[in-house]
Amino acid sequence: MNQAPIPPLIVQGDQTLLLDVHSPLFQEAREELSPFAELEKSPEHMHTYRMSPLSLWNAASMGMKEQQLEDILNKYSRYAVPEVVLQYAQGILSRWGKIHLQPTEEENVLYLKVDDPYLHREISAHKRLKKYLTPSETGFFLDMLNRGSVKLEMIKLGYPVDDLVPLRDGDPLKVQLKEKLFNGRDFVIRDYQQDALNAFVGKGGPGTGFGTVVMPCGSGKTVVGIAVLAAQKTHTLIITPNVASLHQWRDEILEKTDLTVDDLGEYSGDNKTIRPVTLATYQVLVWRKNRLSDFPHFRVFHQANWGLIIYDEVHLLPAPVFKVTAEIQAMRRLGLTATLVREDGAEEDVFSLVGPKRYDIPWKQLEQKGWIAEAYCHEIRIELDDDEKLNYAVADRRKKYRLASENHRKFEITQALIEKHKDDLVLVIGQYIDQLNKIAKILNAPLITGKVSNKEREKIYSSFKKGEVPVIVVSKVANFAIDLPDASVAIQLSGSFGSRQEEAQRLGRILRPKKKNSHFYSLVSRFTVEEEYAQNRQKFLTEQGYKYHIEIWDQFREKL
Amino acid sequence: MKKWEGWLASLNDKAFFELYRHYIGKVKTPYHKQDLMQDFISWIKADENQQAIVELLDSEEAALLCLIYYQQPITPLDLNALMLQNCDKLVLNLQERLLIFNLEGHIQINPYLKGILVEKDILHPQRILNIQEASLGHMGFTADDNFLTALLIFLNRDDRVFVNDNQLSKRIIQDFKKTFTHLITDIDESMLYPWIKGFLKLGLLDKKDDMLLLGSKKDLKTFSELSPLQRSWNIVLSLCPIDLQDISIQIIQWIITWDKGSFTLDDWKKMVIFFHPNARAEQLKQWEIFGKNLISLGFLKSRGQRLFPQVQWLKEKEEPTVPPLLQPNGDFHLTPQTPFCWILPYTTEITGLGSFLQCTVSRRSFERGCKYQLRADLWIKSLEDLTGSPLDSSFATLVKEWDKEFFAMDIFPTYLLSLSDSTAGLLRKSDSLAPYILRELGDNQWLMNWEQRDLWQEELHRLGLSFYPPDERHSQFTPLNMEQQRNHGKGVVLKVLEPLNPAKLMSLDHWQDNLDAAAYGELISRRDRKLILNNMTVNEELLKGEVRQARGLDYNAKIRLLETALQPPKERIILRLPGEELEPKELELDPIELIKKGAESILRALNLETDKEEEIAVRKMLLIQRFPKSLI
Repeated sequence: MNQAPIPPLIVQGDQTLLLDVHSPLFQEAREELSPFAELEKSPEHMHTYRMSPLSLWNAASMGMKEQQLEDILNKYSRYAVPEVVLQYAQGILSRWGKIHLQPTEEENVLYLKVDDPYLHREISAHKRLKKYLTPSETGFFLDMLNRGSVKLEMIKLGYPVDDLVPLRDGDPLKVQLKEKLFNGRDFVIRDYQQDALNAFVGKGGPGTGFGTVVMPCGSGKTVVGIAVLAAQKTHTLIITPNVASLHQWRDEILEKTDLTVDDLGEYSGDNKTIRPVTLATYQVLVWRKNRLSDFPHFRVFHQANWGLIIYDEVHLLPAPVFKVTAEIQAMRRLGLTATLVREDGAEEDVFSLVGPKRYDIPWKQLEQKGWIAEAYCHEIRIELDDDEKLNYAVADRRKKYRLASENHRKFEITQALIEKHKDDLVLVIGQYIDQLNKIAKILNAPLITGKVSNKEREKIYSSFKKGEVPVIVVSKVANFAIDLPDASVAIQLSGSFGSRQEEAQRLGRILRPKKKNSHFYSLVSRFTVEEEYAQNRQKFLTEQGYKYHIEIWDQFREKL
Repeated sequence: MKKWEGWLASLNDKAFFELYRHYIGKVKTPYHKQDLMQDFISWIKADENQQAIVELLDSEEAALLCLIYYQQPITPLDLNALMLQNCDKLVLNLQERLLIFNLEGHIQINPYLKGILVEKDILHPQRILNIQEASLGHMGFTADDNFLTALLIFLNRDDRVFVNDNQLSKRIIQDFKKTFTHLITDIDESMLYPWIKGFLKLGLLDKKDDMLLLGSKKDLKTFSELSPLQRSWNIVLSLCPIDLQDISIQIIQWIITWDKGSFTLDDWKKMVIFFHPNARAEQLKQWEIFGKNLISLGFLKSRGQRLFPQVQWLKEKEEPTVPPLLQPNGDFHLTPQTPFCWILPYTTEITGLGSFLQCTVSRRSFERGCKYQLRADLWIKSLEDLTGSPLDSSFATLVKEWDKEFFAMDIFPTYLLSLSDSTAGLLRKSDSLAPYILRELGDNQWLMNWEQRDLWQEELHRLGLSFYPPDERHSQFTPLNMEQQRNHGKGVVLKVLEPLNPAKLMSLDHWQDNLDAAAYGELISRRDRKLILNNMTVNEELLKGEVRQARGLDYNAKIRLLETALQPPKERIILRLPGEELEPKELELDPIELIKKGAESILRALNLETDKEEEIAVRKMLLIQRFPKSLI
């Protein structure tokens, strides 16, 4: 007789949900949990989800009721679900739908409907909200322009706004996805990309059409963006971190849709053409003459009747762009990212202004399915020289980090590793230009920094793709959106202190599926503060299930 | 039987005939006292009479009978101590009702009634305590292995735990509430005190100034080698008074057999008396403190006046077999089936506590363990033993790196072994000592392992090098012998007893017209003293002649009653006098004489409580009752 599997879920009193990866019910439970709980950690054996106000409101906005949530928890829970957890979830969920944002007869005026008289009083007395709102008996009037700001403040107050104001349709765009790629292969939207598309588009009614999709590097976020563009069929503004990634978007749109070069505009430092689909960079948007002047390029948001704005790498969205995003709440908005981790803690801003997280998938899950490359992470530790140890001992903490990062013995390791991977394409990534210059010279490899022109960069990338140049050295400019399909080894010489998203993005450079497994080496000075920063940097990836193999260089060298 | 008959025979005539007339009726003359005694014995043997006597018993009377039954031999003074109140009046009343008798200063149960008292569970030891069948279900938290591990992890802190006067710091209280609130619903910081105290007593914690340190690795390891049940027992008993440890084991073993029992703090106090009648006042006080500590600890759950033992703490448990799950990021998950892990408190921090205990090992937390000389190799080996699988190699490397860095400079306790040339040679030749040598210093001196001192000292002894090294830090933790515990408390089985609902007192209204006021008053008094069992026990003649109480306003009646009591053989009296704050007070007295002082009549009597003579004006007496002293 078959025994029923042991339920995979452990509901803790602090609203965390532990999910046993090895249970046969894991997959089923994961799918039912993810609408109302955020994946917090996903190491090897036990994944941790958390029910946060944002995740619960997100679920409520998708129509989830308290009873459904309770049923799911009871269904999968190994032990009795703590009463306190149900009460918490009930309390948070009940806040959803208490406040609605509705259109009024006047085009530029919206109505914030608040039925609860106590809440009405609380909002009336709220310092920062006061300036946006004109009270009426059961709500408040507000200017269309303040739609985002009010939503953001309300979230901070603990009450999400159910935005029922229909999104504005932009100018229509005739666009179709192609069936064949340039290389003749079929163009197929993968199942998880389709899921992400569906989650974003929803039923098309009020409350849908804005939000964020979180997917690992190399899993085809751009494809999701293009699929959304093709589904919405409207004039679209796509904002990317830099010109290289802008060009990558451009190339992919041309390859995967029937749009032509004439349909695509580029709004960058070099070129400012507005077309039905326009690609811009954060860099150009936030440019201004001086700290006191306006941002002149924000006009791009209003220069056309956009129906969709796509924020690529939304975790990098600069603060001033949040401000303008708050003003364009009537447009459809899609945020794409691999790591919704912001070291500045502005996740709430992304939720309120771009939209809630609509889709998220663990990295390891895609790796298992073969959609991203299997990657091995290594942390190689090497001691400082005796002279450096002395300098290190007397330095302040910041200087210590710099000395440890620039440990010159890292050069010998880099050379040895490149020798080990002589048949692979290797990226050497670092933070400090001096260090990168030196290693580029030693390796006789091209160096890409912010000063290298786009034209020159593309030339190097092209040689790299062809295998003519097996190693390139890149500074932090290459953290994002470099399309290097065949890079399978990355060696990280140094990084920006404990930045988790930088580490994840750098790993992402080698995650595109390929015949070989990928290797990520992070070089760290032993017995220094760099070890602590390295541990912090690795947090996001270890929580996603990546395992760092820690090696001591003197012993590891013998294995090579 | 003989004893009771002997007591009956020893009564003076006045007392004997009064009893006879009351229970059996008029004494027919001529009489032979032996025949009358036989009548009495036949009367008391009759089922209906026994039934009638026993039916009137209430729970307080049953408790007293129970104490008398179990605490043989017992004096009236002992009884007062055991009942935590003066119960002379009740004792006298039970004697009048033939349930007990006083022979040579020791009170005993009437053997003729013992059968029915046992049959009706009146003499069940549980009657001593006011135990009620009541259950709040599983209402408190369970101090299981995960809780013990979590609390020790929590208490291994870098910051000050205590402020002035050994008060817990605000910070630790806040952190405690924050960390444990999801496990303990009605969390109260006062519970930390007995837990810390218990851990200190067990040697699992050590207090140094305002800080808490974990105990020695040896003690924690010994603790981890116990069964979960033994651990729980050790915790519960850690706070008991040392000289009451055996009694504590007996009592706790007794109360945990009740699935649905509850009792009051007063009952708790009586329990020790029941098991240890010679307990001194100081021990009783300590016992009471122990009870209060168990309440704070969470083992006794308090609801209103009643206490509910959390029996699940000390229920036989399945041996936990699920090892802690270590993830590659250093997170541990401990299920409810995970045994106590002695190494985790030294080296981890709590990240979540609910059905599972979640903790994590970080560089900082591992370094805390390094301060206890917990080396990476031992840590890894212990974990591997626990999990039965090798530790992830990268994580092992990481831990070794932390260890190496921490111990780059080291101050550690060690023994300096200094030997003469001749004995040094012996040591050099012996391979068996090599594992314990930390360093050879030259000049026949060696640094020896501190932790393993027992082993190498034993080895030296085996080699013929006996010596007596100073060893000031003995292990503090001595686990309880559980076999011994299991034998305690046997034969005391709690059962669900029928509550005692005393039969209704007879209605005597119809006698009011037939008797004068004094006789009717006496009748009512006898009825209230539960002496009226049936119509046979309403003896008009006796009532008229034997007024046994007089009230305040009837001055002449009071004088007459006192004069009767003073006639030989003298009787004992109980007086009710106006007390402070409108509360009347009662005195039990042996009357000596009535004195006239002017117009005032004064009673001189011996106060049995203070053993001092007193003079009391008759007019002040609110109520006087007399009892045949011969019964006492």
